[in-house]
Amino acid sequence: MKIIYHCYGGSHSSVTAASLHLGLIPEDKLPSNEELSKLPYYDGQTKKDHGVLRFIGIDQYDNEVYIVGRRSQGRLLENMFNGLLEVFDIPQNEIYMVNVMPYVNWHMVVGGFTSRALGWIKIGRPIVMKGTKEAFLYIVSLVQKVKMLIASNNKKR
Amino acid sequence: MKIIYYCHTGAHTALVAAAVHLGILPFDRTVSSKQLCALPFYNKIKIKQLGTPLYIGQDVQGNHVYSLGVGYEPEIPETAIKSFMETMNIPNNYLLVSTLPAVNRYILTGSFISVTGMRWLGQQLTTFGIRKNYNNITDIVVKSMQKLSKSREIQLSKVIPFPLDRVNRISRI
Repeated sequence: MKIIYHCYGGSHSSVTAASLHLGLIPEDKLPSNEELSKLPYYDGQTKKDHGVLRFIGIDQYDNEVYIVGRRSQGRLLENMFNGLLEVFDIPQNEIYMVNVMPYVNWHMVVGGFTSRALGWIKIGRPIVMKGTKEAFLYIVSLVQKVKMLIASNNKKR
Repeated sequence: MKIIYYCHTGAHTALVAAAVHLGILPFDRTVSSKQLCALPFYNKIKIKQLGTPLYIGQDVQGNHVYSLGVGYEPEIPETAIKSFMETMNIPNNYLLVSTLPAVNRYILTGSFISVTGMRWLGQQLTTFGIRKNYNNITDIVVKSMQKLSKSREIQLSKVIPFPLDRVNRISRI
């Protein structure tokens, strides 16, 4: 199964969620700025990367984890990907899309915009990291929920 | 083979292109607004349903024809579709045709109005716009049919009879 975490820019919340899913970052304590900056694609994607699915890794049950930055087209992308599965006769449980936007707070919005859209990394990155830490435990709960919801699909035990 | 026409909503320009492809609407005549409104799904997409591919029918050669809406920021879904096809390892036996070059300001505003609520007003604007730009839409369909057939003159005449001088005129552009 391919799990796709999607958010506005594909640089912050979806990256954190995907990394938590794969165990690249521990769930039980808040990450430091250094740990966050080492995550794949963290504060990395720009406008030209939006819309491209990025492979992050494979979890312990052989599910592939992707992220995508999709600006304001979240619902459209979900409808489209699920619809295209039907068009090409692929079973619906091949893809599981997770919208991480409800877990984004204002610090992440402002910091992310400053860092990614304006390019002022020195100002924007600390703000977005502070926001990520504030949202961290909520994203942990999201990932745990996702893992429970897809558990019935897992073939390995 | 799957043929997917796309526009902003999937219920206006792309739907008309799919209907022309299947022979429901004519190549060489103008179209009345009644004929447009009689199409299945015409003007019936709402904003929450944007993005779902609509199956329109099967053409003479057995290709399945779909209509898709990509919204009003088309660059993201366009890159996302290509990325998705690569990720899912979908073989290259599909044809993705953009009908966005045939969208004029009447269709654009009408489709947006229709999708966000005021269906009647959107319907009036889009039918006006589609009838105005009907030749552009049929040109797109003719080009996609050219891509489908290997030998243009021989096989196209077997598919649907339409004036071949139009094909040659377009191929010079």
